[in-house]
Amino acid sequence: MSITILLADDHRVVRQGLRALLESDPELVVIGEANDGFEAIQLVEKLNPQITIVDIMMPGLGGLEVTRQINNRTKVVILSMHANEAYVFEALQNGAYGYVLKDSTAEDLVRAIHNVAAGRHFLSPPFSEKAISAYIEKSQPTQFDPYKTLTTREREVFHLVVEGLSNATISTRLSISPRTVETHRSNLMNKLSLHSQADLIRYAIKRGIISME
Amino acid sequence: MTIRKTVFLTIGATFLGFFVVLSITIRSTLLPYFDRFEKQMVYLNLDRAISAIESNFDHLDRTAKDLARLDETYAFAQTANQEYIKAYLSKNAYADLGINLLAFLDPSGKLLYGNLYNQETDILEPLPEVLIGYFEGGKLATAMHTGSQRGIIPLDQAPLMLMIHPILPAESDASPSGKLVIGQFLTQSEILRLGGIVQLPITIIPYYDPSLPKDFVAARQMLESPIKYATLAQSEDLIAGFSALNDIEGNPAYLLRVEQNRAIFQSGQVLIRYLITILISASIMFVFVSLAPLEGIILSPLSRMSREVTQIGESGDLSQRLTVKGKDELARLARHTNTMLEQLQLAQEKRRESEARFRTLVESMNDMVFTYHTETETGGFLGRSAKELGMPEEITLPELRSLPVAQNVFPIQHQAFERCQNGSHEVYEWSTEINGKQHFYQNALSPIFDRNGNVTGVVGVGRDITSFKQLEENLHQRIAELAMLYDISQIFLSQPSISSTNDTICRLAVDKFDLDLAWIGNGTLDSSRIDPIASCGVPLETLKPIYFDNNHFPPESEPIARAFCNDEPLIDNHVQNTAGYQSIAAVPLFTQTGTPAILNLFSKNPDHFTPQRLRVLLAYTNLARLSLQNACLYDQLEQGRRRLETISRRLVEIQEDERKWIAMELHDEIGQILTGLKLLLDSSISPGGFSAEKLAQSRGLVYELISRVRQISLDLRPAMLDDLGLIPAVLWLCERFREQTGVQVHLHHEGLDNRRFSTQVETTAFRVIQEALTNVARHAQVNRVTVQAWTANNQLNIQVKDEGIGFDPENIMDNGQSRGLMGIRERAHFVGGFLTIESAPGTGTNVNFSLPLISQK
Repeated sequence: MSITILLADDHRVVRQGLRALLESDPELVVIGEANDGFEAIQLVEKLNPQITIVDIMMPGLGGLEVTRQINNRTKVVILSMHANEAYVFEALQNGAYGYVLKDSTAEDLVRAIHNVAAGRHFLSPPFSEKAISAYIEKSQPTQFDPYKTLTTREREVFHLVVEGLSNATISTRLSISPRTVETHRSNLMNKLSLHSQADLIRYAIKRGIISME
Repeated sequence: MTIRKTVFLTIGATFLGFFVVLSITIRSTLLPYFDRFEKQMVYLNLDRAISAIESNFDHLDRTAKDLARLDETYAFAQTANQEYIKAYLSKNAYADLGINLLAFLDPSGKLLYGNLYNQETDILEPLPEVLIGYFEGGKLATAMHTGSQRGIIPLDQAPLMLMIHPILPAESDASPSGKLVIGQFLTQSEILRLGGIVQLPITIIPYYDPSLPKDFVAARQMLESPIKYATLAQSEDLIAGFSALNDIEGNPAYLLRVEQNRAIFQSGQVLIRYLITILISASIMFVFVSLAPLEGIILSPLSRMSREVTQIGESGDLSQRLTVKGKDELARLARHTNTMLEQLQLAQEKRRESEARFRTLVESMNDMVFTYHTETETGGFLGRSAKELGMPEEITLPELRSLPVAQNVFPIQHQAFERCQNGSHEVYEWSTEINGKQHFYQNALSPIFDRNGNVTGVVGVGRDITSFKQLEENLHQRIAELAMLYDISQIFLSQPSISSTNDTICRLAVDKFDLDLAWIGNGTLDSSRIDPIASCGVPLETLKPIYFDNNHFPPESEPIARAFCNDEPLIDNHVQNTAGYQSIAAVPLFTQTGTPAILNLFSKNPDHFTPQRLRVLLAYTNLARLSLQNACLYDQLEQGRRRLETISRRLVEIQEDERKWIAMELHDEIGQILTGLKLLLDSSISPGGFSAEKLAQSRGLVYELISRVRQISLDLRPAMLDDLGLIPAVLWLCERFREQTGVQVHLHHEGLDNRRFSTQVETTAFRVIQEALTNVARHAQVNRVTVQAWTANNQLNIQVKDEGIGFDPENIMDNGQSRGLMGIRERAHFVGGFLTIESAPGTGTNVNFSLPLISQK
């Protein structure tokens, strides 16, 4: 039983290369070629291919977006030049079944199609599910202390402000212009997600910068 | 005389006249009536008395007739026989018949018989001669034939009532044989009897009795005229009526008086009295009845109104009002008067108000108003100014001429005054000293003309123009100051730099403000020292910096330090200075931009900085400040321009570098590989077929080619940034950085995953991190760097921090050593962000970037 395939790539040369490569396998039948993302979506509707091979970089509608829209009608194999876990992760997020680098070998691609057609995910080397998991781990936001991001100047200004000094006095004390003091002050408040002088004092007390005498 | 008096008198007089006229009328109409009535009663009574006498005659007549008809009597008259006498003519016959005389006369009238009977003596007496004279004298002869005759014959004893009757036979017409005469005395008793009959006292008195009472005399006189009766009022109670009793021959012999009381007259009097009494009472009543309402309705209100009007008139208080009672004309009058009063009051108030306003106006005016009347040669002054100058409100011409104020400037005042009196308008100025202060006045004199064009007076207004004069003076001074400031500003405008501006400020201050020394000092950043930077008066090298701290000022330069710290101008006009300066002024020049500077001015004169000089000086320093700021701004502009120049030059350089790099990559890498590929492919195709080995080599080259191209593309701009967003791109960047440099990158981020921003924001953030990492790789000499990215307060924050060797940011920025850092600072600024680079040699580097995300989702 043959596997019907739709090719979606904006480069005709690549499409020709791919078709030649795929048709060397008698089980694979290329039933259509799309020149861009929109055409790809239309042809999937029309031809109902089992597998759609989508170039990740296409003008207009990108490959990832096309994948997101057609993944319930066909199994998508992303063809990408990006050897980057971020892309892989994104592609899988969007419902792709396979991720094959463009500089992979022809065997890789054919194998990927067979795997995907059999309902298995396929990532071309060097990607693996483990690597993806590691990436996901790495890309997760980390808890950190915003106070530590304050610059030395900002910390100085912060201390003087919670001591109740005016911008003018602080500017004299730090030998910087009052405007600069104001910028530091607004920056540090932004960094600490504070909105008012009262917030500032409260934060300073919470952190033990000043005591509540 | 009041209306009330007049009315009372008029009404009184009217009623008095009315009363008099009425009483006179009553008297004149009623009295004659009663008089006449009384007279008639008197006449009636006289008639009755006479009738009583006549009734006696009638008795005598009947006796005589009876006797005369007797035949014996007839016979006796013929025969005169004695028998008859004896039989009939005894004494008793007299008494029986009630007669006093009996006589017989023969037809010739000769007395046949006659005797007189005295009742008192009861004797027959012979006839007196007087009586016989009557009979025989023929006085009665005529009556012998005609019939009987009756009459009174006055005798000495008493009036004798005589009746003569012819003697005729009883039944024949024979001629009478003689005459029978009988008589009776009308004695007092008889008269009384008669009075009893008529019930009135009757008196009979001989007509010609010489001893007649007075009333009888008056009555006799009245009866001389041919009237029958006369009346005479004897008294209030008694009236008498008189009548003449004629004798038998028709001559008046006796006067008969009948007296009666005056009942009618008296009742008339009583009636009149009643009437008059009634009249008087009625009049009085009428007067009261007519006066009472008059008094109540008119006079009393009128008098009250008069009193109130008088009171209002005397007091002049127009707020009082007349009492209004009722609705009559008087009330209306009072009401109208009140309305009038109200209007008067209103008018008066208005007049007073306008008068007061006018007075206030004149009093409040600084002007002095002068009036003069040619005719009376008097005048006066009004207004506050006049009071201050002691000008009187009224003044005569000699007094006017001797006024001290006029004396001061007499010629001007006098000539103007004289000219004005000749009809010309005069305006002139003069001045005088009041309380030691010079006052200037402008007088305007105008003549007053009457209808004929003659000058009747002068009106003048004296205006205190002292303040104007001062203003004028001040204005001149100000113009001079302004001119000077203008010159100065022109000089300032032409200054090419800050340092030359500073020098010029000092030089002009010394020149224009007559100073001995002027210098400008720059404050240090920590505000503890003032360094002289420009001077005029002494060489700059000789001036020493001033050291101070906030609480302690060096005594020598105390004003300068204090003015500098307080940022306020400070003046000391009595300073003890070793250099001999006595006046010091210190004026801070600017603190807004750049370092604060202070201008210090010195004079060896005390009190050099007068308020006026100070004012100009402050204006001068303002100009100087402006000029300095200008110079500063110009410097900044110049710096900015230079920086811009550097940036654009660098941009061009970067662009060229990029191109050079791409060209080199294309030529050196891609081109070489392609050349190699071409050679391989050429050699793989031989007449004998394909060389599998060479084709495999070719494929290897193609893979390398793809890799290179991808690498170049990523170096130029990672597609990930557009496809996946900031965090995947930064993750890739960090990984790549670690791979390339071996420096460990610790990436922390929060609030950014799955979040997309505008390309500009993402690109800028990416480039900031990229450049900061590049910088770390280049300068930091560390093996570890921390990259943090987070959002807070809708602001994107990036921090790249290392603990490397650090550098001097100013240095790097200014001399353009780090083009990349400088580039991203500009770039951050361009998208509205804020980038700071904190670093110092030996302290590591901290690159901070924050960017507001206002318009981003």
